[in-house]
Amino acid sequence: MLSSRLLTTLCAIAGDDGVIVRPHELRVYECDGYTLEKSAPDVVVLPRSTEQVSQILRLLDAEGIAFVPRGAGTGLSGGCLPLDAPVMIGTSRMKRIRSIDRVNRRAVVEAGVVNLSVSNAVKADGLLYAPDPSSQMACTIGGNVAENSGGPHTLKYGVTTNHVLGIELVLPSGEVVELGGAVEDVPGYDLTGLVVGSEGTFGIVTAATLRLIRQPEACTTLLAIFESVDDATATVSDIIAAGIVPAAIEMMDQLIVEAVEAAFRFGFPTDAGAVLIIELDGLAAGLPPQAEKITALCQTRRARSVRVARDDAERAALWKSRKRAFGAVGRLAPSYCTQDGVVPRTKLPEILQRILSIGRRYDLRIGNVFHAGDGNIHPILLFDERDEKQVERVLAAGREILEACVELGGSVTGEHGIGVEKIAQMPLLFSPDDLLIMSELRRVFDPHGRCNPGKIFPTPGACVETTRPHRRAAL
Amino acid sequence: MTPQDVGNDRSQIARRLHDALGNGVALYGEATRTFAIDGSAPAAVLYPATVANVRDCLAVASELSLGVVPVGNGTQLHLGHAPRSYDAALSLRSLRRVVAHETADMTVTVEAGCTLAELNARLSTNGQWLPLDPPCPEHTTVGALIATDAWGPSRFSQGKVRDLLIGISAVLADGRLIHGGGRVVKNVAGYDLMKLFTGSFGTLGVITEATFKVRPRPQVSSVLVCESPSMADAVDDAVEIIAAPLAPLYVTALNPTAASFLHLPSAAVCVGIGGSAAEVAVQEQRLQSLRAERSVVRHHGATATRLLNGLRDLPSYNASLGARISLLPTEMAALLRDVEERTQRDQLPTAIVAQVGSGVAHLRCGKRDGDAYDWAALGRWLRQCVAHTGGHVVFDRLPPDARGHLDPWGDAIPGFALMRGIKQKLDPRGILSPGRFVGKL
Ligand SMILES: Cc1cc2nc3c(=O)[nH]c(=O)nc-3n(C[C@H](O)[C@H](O)[C@H](O)COP(=O)(O)OP(=O)(O)OC[C@H]3O[C@@H](n4cnc5c(N)ncnc54)[C@H](O)[C@@H]3O)c2cc1C
Repeated sequence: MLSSRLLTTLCAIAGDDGVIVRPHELRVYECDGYTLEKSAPDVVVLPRSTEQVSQILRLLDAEGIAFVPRGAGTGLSGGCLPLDAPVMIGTSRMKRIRSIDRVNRRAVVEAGVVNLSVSNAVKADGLLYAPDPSSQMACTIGGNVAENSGGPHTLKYGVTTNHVLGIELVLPSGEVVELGGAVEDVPGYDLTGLVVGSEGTFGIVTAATLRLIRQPEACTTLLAIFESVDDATATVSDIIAAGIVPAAIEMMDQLIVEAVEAAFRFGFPTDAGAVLIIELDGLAAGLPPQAEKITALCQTRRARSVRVARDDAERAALWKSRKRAFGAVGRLAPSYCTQDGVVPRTKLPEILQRILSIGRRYDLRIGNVFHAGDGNIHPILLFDERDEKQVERVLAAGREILEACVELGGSVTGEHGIGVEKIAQMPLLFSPDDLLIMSELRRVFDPHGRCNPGKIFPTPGACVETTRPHRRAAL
Repeated sequence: MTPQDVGNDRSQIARRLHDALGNGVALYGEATRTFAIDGSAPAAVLYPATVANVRDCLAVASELSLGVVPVGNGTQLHLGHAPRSYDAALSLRSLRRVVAHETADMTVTVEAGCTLAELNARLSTNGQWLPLDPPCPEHTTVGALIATDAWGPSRFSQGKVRDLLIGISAVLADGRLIHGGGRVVKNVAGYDLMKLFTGSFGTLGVITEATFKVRPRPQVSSVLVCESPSMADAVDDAVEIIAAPLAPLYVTALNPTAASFLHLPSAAVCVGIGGSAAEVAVQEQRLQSLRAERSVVRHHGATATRLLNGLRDLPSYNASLGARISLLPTEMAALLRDVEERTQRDQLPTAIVAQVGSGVAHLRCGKRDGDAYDWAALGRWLRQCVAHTGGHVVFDRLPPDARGHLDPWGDAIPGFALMRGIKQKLDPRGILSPGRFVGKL
């Protein structure tokens, strides 16, 4: 338990309304979008400025107390689950867009700024912030930086790391460091690049300098309906292999289409095996030939129909259906777990077959809605959280899917991070030396291991089997 | 020459390295001159034949605290401080296989000693390329490309190494082999070691293998040369072109001296256009009408290639003082105007090549006849002007007498304590490119 003296000091720094200690209020903070493990912090602090974050971390450093950063809590790997960290530091009151430089196409925003509000702020100027996670209406830039988040349009435009030029970071010691910045090619190691994707283990990101891009002159959105998942995934490979780089290629299988259709009534055929949403953008002159080529490729794979979104409204409706698909899944089962694996794009047909058979074997319903163009799969495992046996099966099936991804030459996470969820899978990808070096890098930023402990790395010596039951106690 | 000839005090070391090299080769004497840095050559040049050789060599070097500088063909050795100790250059040139080109996945895995030209020749058979166009691709090895974070005009549209590198293997100072990333285009497992090694100047490890995303080559491409009255005008024109509804591959502004090297009559903006025939045609048309009252010359085919290669190689031209300036694009015109004024006043022939959209410019200042010139003063002045706008200057060529007075990287690097911490973790004995990088890491 934290001392009342500490709580008083936290209140003095962040204000009484910036310190949450009541158990029923803390429940909101007991997990993120990964709900299989839960554990509430003792206190949540909501600073308003970098200076306050620095003061808080100085205090915690002096007292030797561990903490966990939190943005909007939409993470899907348990990244902000408090493990041996009594203090949670939330960025929800750090929402200022500090500056926008329209000519040089840069914005400096605080960590708590919601992803979509960056694009909204520069829309009228013909600009946008490219990384567009499906959760973009809620998730924060700080969370995006921590997870190196992607989104449908990262196929063409790249993920968060390709659009972050600088970071303001408060180290666990309380020291504020400026890494990178608005000017490119800063001499020295690319610490900005190292911090992006570090899952909140290097300190608290308080602000980021973002690159903005120009809105494309034109875009064409195609909806292709397929009889089978196989045909749809094979088409994805065909498009990439043809040297076309669409802005996005997203796939939804029948289970997801049914859920989405029930929720949003877009007009998807619920008897189709799978649909692809393919978006092309760029100069208007370049689009028609590409759309024709893609249509032909779809038809070669027996597409039932390929149609072009009529207008902006229809395009928006299509994207809304896709981006809210996870939410719509809530109608299908009391609980669901979203997995996140990657395979080389040519291996998509194979991994989807494997998922199908894994689902059968574990007697689980699994839907698929994902960033197909990148080979980034998101199988959604449906279950009932109250049934211990089902939870076991979900965990085991999830593990098997990820192992299959690695076997096919891929990775266990494309954008959601390792968090607590995939710690056990790290050794599938990395040697003990790799993991040791990464842990040592972490120590450079956080010598005492007090920033988001228990994430990303397997504890040396401790085998997974022994940590699981302890964790499950928190369910 | 055999190890025994090197001299008694060294023969022990040479024997150990010789054993570590296995089937690899060690060269001594004259052959080491190619890899001289700031006038001093290493005692030996090592060409390991396998990754195991690299590991064994470094394990020996680490044990004996030998200063080792990883190199490819040694084209970029003028960058950075001279090494604190330089016992051996370790060249990866014998490790040059393309390990896997997954054409349909658009990824390639390649050993570090392969040159960019060799790699792109291989990729082009499938209509693909690694879209990096730094100077001298025939000499630039993949390892050096990553370690020096080399780039060219197309960074404006294609990004830099950091945007394309998806997996890396490197041998650390003590001989341990480590990996980051993987072979898929999207992957967030573990820390991003690719970013850490990119631009690390051989101070953290010896890069042995890399995996990149590759892209389709534009079907058609051309270069449009827009003449401008002066460098500052060329930069302003470039800013206008970047704001126009075009999607250029690069927008490079040249001052009259740089332009003359490419046989162009005046300061100019070179705009690279690429894509499908339709995309190229519409952009050419738009650019012509944007610049209706001024001359625009369109080059295609072999002349376009020659021009692009010239643009690409300009920053590698020898010079008394070479500087790489980075600042915000909007600050560029005024700064470069001042630079031109000053260098003209001082009678220094100076070529300037500016990648305006990225806010980076290369400066090559030539020799001055007759009396001595205070290069350090010029360097300090330049650094001060650029710092004033929030930018940075890295000197990639310095005359010998200025070296002691100008830090090539600049002082006061933000986050330096963290960088030092990283160096200490990965290379605690400081044997890899010792003292070469920022803050003499
Ligand atoms: C419906 C839905 C759809 C999604 N779609 C996508 C998608 O398309 N692509 C994608 O990549 N992800 C997606 N996600 C996952 C999630 O939205 C992203 O990981 C997002 O970046 C998390 O942001 P957040 O603000 O919610 O962070 P949180 O969940 O609060 O935190 C995530 C991690 O970041 C750390 N963190 C947060 N803020 C900071 C900070 N300021 N400094 C340091 N560390 C910090 C936390 O400690 C934690 O480890 C989706 C999630 C949901 C629920």
